[in-house]
Amino acid sequence: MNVVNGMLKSFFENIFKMKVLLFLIAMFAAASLFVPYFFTSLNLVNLLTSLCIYGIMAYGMTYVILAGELDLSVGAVMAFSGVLLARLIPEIGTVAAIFVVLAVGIVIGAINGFLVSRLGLHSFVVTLSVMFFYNGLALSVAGGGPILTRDPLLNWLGNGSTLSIPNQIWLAVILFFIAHYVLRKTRFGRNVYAVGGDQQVARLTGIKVGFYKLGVFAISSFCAAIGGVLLTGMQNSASPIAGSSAAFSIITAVVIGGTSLTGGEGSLVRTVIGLLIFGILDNSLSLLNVNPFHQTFYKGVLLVFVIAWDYYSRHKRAVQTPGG
Amino acid sequence: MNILEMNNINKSFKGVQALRNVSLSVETGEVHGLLGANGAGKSTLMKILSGVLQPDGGEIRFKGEKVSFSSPLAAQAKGIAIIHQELSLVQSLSVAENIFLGRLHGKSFNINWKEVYQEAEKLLSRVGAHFSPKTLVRDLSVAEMQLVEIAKALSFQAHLVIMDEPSAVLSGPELERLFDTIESLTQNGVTVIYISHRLEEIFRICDRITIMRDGQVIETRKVAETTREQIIQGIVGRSMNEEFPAKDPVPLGDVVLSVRNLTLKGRFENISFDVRSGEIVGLAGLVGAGRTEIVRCIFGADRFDQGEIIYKGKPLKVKNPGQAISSGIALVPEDRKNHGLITRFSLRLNLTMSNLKKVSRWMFLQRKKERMAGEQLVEQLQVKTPSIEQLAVNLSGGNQQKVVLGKSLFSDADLLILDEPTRGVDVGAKREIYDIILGLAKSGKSVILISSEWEELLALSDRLIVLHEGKLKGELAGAEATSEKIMQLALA
Amino acid sequence: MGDAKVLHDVQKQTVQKETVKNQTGKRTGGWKLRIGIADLGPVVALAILLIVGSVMSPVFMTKENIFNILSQIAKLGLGALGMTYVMISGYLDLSIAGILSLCNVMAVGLERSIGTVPAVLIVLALGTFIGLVNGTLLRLIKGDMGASVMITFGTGTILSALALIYTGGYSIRADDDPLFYWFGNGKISGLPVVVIFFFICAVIFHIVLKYTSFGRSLYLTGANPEAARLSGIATARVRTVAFMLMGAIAAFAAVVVSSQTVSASPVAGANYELDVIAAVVIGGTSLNGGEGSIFRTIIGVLLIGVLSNLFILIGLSTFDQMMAKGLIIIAALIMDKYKHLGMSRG
Repeated sequence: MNVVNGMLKSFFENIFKMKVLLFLIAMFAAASLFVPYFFTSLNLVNLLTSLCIYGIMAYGMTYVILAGELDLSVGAVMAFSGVLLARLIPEIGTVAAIFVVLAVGIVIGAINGFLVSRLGLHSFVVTLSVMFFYNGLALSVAGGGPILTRDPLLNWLGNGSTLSIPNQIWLAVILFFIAHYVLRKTRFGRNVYAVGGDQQVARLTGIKVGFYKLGVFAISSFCAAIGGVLLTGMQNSASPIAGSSAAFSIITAVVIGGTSLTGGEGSLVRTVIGLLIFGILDNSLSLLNVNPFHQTFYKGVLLVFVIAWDYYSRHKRAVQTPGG
Repeated sequence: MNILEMNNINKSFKGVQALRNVSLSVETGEVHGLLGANGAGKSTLMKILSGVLQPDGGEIRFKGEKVSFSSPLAAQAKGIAIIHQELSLVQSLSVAENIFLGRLHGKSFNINWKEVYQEAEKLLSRVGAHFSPKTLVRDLSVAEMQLVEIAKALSFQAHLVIMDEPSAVLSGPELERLFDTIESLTQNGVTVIYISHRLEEIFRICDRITIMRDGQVIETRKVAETTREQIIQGIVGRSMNEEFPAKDPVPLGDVVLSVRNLTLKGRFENISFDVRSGEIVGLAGLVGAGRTEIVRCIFGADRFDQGEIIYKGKPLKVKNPGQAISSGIALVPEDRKNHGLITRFSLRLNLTMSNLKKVSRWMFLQRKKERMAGEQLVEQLQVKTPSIEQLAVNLSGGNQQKVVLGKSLFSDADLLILDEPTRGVDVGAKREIYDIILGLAKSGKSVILISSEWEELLALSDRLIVLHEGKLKGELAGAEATSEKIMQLALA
Repeated sequence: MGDAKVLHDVQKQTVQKETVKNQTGKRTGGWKLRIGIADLGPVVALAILLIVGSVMSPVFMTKENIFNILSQIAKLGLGALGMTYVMISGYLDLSIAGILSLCNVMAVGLERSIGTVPAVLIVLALGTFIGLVNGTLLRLIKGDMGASVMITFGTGTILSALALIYTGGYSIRADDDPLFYWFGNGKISGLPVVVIFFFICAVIFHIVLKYTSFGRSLYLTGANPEAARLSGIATARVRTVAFMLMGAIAAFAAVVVSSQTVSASPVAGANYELDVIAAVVIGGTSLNGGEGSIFRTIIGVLLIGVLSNLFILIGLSTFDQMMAKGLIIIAALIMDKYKHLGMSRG
């Protein structure tokens, strides 16, 4: 119980320091006032549910960004996971297939992590190439088009509810608490911060940087695999081209929340706030019947603004450090 | 009893012998100074001792037992802590997290933050730090960061603490506090190895010293039985008649630079001073005084809020260093390796980059002109290098600094701003740089000199301007200036 | 002269003190290409591919096929020239997908309304302007490479959206105009015009890079932006010019592409930035900035072009091609990394 108390206390302590939270509240208020149908229970539940898949993937992405890297392959891994799942279910049954897909997700992530940490390659280009690869692989395995799945368990996971709350939301919330706890309260989590904050210092301290980089990528791909499973369940089909813009939407959300791209700074709470902000914007634009092309335009403007702000404010802060 | 014995340590890198049969003994509870020129092997030896590197041969006995360290953590576990020259702190994390980096969980599985902060608080008060352990390291001053480093070393319950040039960024009261900390460490039975170029400090706090040169130990002696001359001779291998050159009086010309009421919020305010041609003006002060910030503003590297700069009679409006350089101002930055040079490029490229126009015609580079200019500068400054195509990274600190100076000369600067020009430069090269600086003044150029070594400032400057926390505290004419007077003004 | 060789051989020299012979002893003609050991890997790979290709397929080495390859890679090659500049200066430009999409639909759209020549000029100006915006944004926020990745991705997304808005999502067909048609399909004494365009651009880009002070500034800026700035190089301006050249040549590639198909698609730029970066990286220009050359980029472009052609000739499916592309880029990165590791102190 003490653990939960401690977490709640620091939670509220930090909340009032966060400007993003205020921004979120302001956005929510504005949307409720000006966007028709926004403040209805149906819409709000839809909104939250729609954020779950990207949300879970964003937890993983947060770990990667905290460690100072980027994982652009999450969309492709998600699509591939779905396709693999759909192909395996008829062979080995749903539960086994899910386990296999999740395990494959971890392996994919480990390979990414290996390429980045052991071989020291830029995470941006590596995960971009990997994305190519898994996109191609997904299309290959799926034979070029979506695969229908008519699996009751999968459908229940993606569309069912327990105690009248959608299962997706349950999963997202439970995973949030686990991921947050690990990040804040375990050696693993804190070392991720150290690795992202200053790799050299971390290494000199005896922290195995390679292990952590591998670990965060494994976590990220694992989350992407979960996303693939949920998406397939939700749509009752696996599409090999799903999630083509997932990586950047997720990264946008994480950065909006305030986790810095240079690493070592940020938190899962921030990621959730960023996701909500992004989700409210997306939802509002759809409700306002804004042309989808225009929507992409606005999201692009938002991304540029948020990134520019992140870098600008960080630069300003750096200038404050005293010298001689 | 000797707490440490290193016997016949050998280490080479890719065929270059860095350490040759080095033996070092340190007595328990003493402050043992380690001196030598850059490249003498001090850092390498300490890296082996602290587990960062492994020796090729030899043995280490710590507290009587034979030890071998495969990693820094192994050395720390045995009770050896090292405070590096480049502070090893993670800027984005808090003080407490940095102190216990990688060890936050203690013996349990999860982290008890309350305990962590409490322990950190205790360590901080031991070193006389007044800030909260929750402060982010990036919000601290450099001197405060050093305290965190020392607290970190204490947290390992180290028996032997190695300090690699800890005073490079300190002066005045911060230095005093460092010495107090060292003294309290030794009083508690902790042994200290102190690496420094600053001879005043060595005489002040060390009991014995070991001098290294070219990868070997030259001698170990008691400080009480050593003179400054003997130390210099040990380091350099020949006797230096003067550490500092004699300063001939140089006729001063007109005012070249006039700084009026220069202000940058939070850094410095109302700074006004003049510099004449042929004059060397020294800026003295403690860390945080704002000297580097001021000169960077003069150079156009940073913006300032108020005030004006008049250069050669006209108001100077530079928005970037390029404009300053075209006007005739040059800066030799504090951080030579990262800001002064592009280390992976050749000397030729480094020397000419400040004035590409001079070696181009209609945008096209003239190779012959460039080569001749480069060779001429290397000759003029006596840079030790087989050719101008040599990569900058291969040069010693002193020669690298000469290249940076050469680059400034190449831009035909009339006003040269030198920020810590001899930091990390060994004694022999220092003297050569002093001669170059005096030569510049003699030829009618103006120099603004920043240095944390007040003796250096006193020897070279015509006038000294003393700053304290962003305010101009006083001016001292060369003749009447002494370290004590500087100290008085720097503190007031 | 000695310059090109030094910059290529930066990797070759070790960190030991060794006697380096003064390399400016011999004078050679100004326009000769200087090739160092670092360039050999991709060249060898290309040679191997050419041999494999001619073995595997009888049509490979025919004149039609070669011209076919060259025309196909015009789009890629032009973009790669600009990206080389940007990469050497220490940045990346992911907006070229958007530039290509927007410029190609605008080229056709304007061609239909105001004619080929004004359309081409306006589109080139637009591309240059976009580059100016990219560079200015990055200058204002004092961004590093990571910032350039994210910001240009954002601007690229905006431009792609604009392309879709402009055409309402549809492809548009150009009016018949022999001049417009000529850009992408014309021939001069049997050689496709696009190949000539590319060759001319490549030569110009090469000369500027190796022999002018601007080119030198690109290398200095990319190797250590702060040191270059404090030494008087106008780093922000240099990088912005690189972006502007990138934008202009991407716009030109858009004109060529729309001319080749006599139509324009608002998603013509899909994956363009990835392909271009892949070509430059495979050729051997480093992502870290401060090194690279047009020669290397051309080899990289040829490699990708020949490879794509081979894939089609041997009947590899599109999906398998994507997988292969991903693997090849990773292989190229690994080789690049080992090249560096082998050369410097561990």
